[in-house]
Amino acid sequence: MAKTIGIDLGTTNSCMAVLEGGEPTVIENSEGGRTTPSVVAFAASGERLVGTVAKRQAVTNPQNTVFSIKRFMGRKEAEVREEESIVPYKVVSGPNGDARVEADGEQHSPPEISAMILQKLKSDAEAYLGETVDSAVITVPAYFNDDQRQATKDAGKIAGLDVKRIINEPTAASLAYGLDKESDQTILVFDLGGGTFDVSVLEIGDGVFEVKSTAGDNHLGGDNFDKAIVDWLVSEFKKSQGIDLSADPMALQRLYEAAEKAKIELSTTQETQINLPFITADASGPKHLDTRVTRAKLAELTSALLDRVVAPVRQAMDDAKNKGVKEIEHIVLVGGMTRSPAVQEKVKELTGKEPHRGVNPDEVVAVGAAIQAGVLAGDVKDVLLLDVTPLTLGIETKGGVMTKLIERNTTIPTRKGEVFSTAEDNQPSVEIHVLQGEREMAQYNKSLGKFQLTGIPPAPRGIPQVEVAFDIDANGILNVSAKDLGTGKEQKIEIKAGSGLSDDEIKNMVTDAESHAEEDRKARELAEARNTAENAAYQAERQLADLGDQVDADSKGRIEEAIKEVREVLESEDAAEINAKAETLQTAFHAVSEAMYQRAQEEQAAASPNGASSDGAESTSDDEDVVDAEVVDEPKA
Amino acid sequence: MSDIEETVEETTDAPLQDGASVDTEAAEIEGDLDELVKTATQRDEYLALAQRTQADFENYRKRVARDAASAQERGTIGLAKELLPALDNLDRALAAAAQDDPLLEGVRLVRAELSGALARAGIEAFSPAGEAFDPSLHEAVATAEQPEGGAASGTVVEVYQSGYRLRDSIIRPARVVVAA
Repeated sequence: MAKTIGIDLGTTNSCMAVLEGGEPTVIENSEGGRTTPSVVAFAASGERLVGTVAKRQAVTNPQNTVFSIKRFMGRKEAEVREEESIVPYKVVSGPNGDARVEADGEQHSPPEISAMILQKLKSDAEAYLGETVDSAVITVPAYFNDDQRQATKDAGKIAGLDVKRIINEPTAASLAYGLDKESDQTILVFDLGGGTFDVSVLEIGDGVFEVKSTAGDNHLGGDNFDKAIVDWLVSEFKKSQGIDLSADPMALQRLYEAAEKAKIELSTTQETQINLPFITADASGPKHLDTRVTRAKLAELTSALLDRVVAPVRQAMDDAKNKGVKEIEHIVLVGGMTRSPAVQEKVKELTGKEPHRGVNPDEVVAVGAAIQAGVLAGDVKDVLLLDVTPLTLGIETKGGVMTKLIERNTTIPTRKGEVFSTAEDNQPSVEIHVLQGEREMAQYNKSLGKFQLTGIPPAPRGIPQVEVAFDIDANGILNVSAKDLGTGKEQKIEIKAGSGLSDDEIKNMVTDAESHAEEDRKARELAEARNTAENAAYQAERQLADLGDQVDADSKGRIEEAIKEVREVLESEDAAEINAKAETLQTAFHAVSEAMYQRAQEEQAAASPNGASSDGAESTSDDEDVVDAEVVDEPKA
Repeated sequence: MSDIEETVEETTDAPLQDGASVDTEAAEIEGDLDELVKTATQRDEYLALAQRTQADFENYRKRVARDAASAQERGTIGLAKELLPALDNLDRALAAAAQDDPLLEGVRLVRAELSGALARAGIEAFSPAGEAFDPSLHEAVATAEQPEGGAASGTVVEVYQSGYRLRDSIIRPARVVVAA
């Protein structure tokens, strides 16, 4: 089945994403990159290069390397004279006055060039997804006019894509944050990309986005910020060493890389070191560049650039206000530069609001386009919106511990089973106490129901196998069953429609668990220590009885004493103390076992396997009604 | 008159009632039919949805298997990328050292040890001096005019920085100067 993908066809870089199983995924290109440079080159060999490869050869072939084609989409040549003067390739006027690129001795319309980029994206997406891609949702800036939108649509058609829809970039970014589900809200989208800055104010009502205002700066982006850092590094180096690095292309390349790295690092740290050994050399020998850059220094270097966002943001807000927009409720950030804390500060200062976070700002537009593509292809349907269990579900086990079967946030429908055993010898029945909540101890969680599985044949503790299964269907109805694997006897309980808890109650239960995490952990540890110790005493006693005369009176006395001590300390509140006593008992028993085996060996008699040491890891309980939490079997998936 | 009227009324009443019950029946059948068509449509929709989801999942599973296979390679490439600048600088240091410096030989051995370690992880350096420029392997940093009879246009005349590859993947292209 052919796929519809979402494409952010950018001025500097393009990005694509697809909806899979209801979740947007960014598609990597054939070089493994999550974004693809929007560059097309016509090589002397007649080969056409697109993306990273085209970018790498740009300096060898500037007249035939086309970038920023988006600036010429759907424009008349007469309108774009300024842009023409910036790019190294030739822009001419086509038959109807449209801007055309002259490269490789031929005229290419901007949609044709864009189509070459789209074609690469399409074939890379097909390779990645393993199926054909025949259609796409493509994004354009909110200010694009009809001609520019039509040109983008044409580009898609030339590339062999059925363009299902052209949507605005700010709308796509808002979709990525699920803001279409809000009603009557106002969103400001701040998009500071590689080479362009756009700000838009959108209003949303009934799932429909309306662009209220747009403003921006066509020549402001991350590249300017990198250049500001490089210029500073060059001037500092000139001051200290008297050498102009700007004349050395390799040094410049290293400086740009270092500047970008420093910019990214300063997004999370207060200062970073720019360290470029052997950056150049003169008669006196090699020169190194080693500079510390603080976040404050970066802010100072880029403050003039940062100030350039102020006017467009104010203008967009004022224009929106004149159109009846009262207040901005949401801020969405787009473009790699918006990772910078200085930029985020500026946005906050101008709008008074915290921006939405979570989606990669380089990918947010493509992600939104993919969501739109999914909606149009019918992938997003209400029936597909699977629910999750809001709280953990489990049963009470020995010592009042909550044993979790289905973790919170598990997507339903789901089923999970585990095998438990009895806690006492000849225990005739087990009680299954179904619980819901995040606390470690049963008593603090919500009880959903209880039932008994009876008729368990007499057997030593830990021998019977009772499979407890939790099954939640798509409607949230929980079925809990307990089955004695020995006799096939089964009991079940149905718990209707989850919890009946409100969102607030659920939230409370989760935060409650978080705030009690430490004391709960201690309580659980104590319960587990008691269980372990009690079981160790039980096992030791049984084995002592089994062994009879094989254990000498002295050792027997020591072990009995240790058992007594363990039992005495069982009610202690100190897990460490209980564990210590259990350990003493085990050590005492190990000594006996060892001596016994040695003797057996000496007598060259086969050792009896039931003389093995007690297993302290086994857990037990005094509480007859409660299931032993010892897992006999791996959980069934 | 009134009698007749009544009879008329009665006679018209009866068939009317009959007609009504037929109508109700017809309406019921029609309703059932609608329901059936609706159910059938819904069934088709759900089947399509299930198939689409299944297909999505199959493809996803294949890709995850593929990704898992290449995960180690990605990890190696990630670490190599972080280390390469230091290696470059070591090369620069070696190139800048006085050739009679006894320290030089030692540093050279250190460099060889590092290359050996990378080679054992499958990472190889390549330095394409004299080869034809190939943007899939090389990144042009600058072009250089050649004297008469010099290197042919489009050949790599200088390698600023070696390229590195891990089998078929390019970790980093070689940074080169190309003959104009």
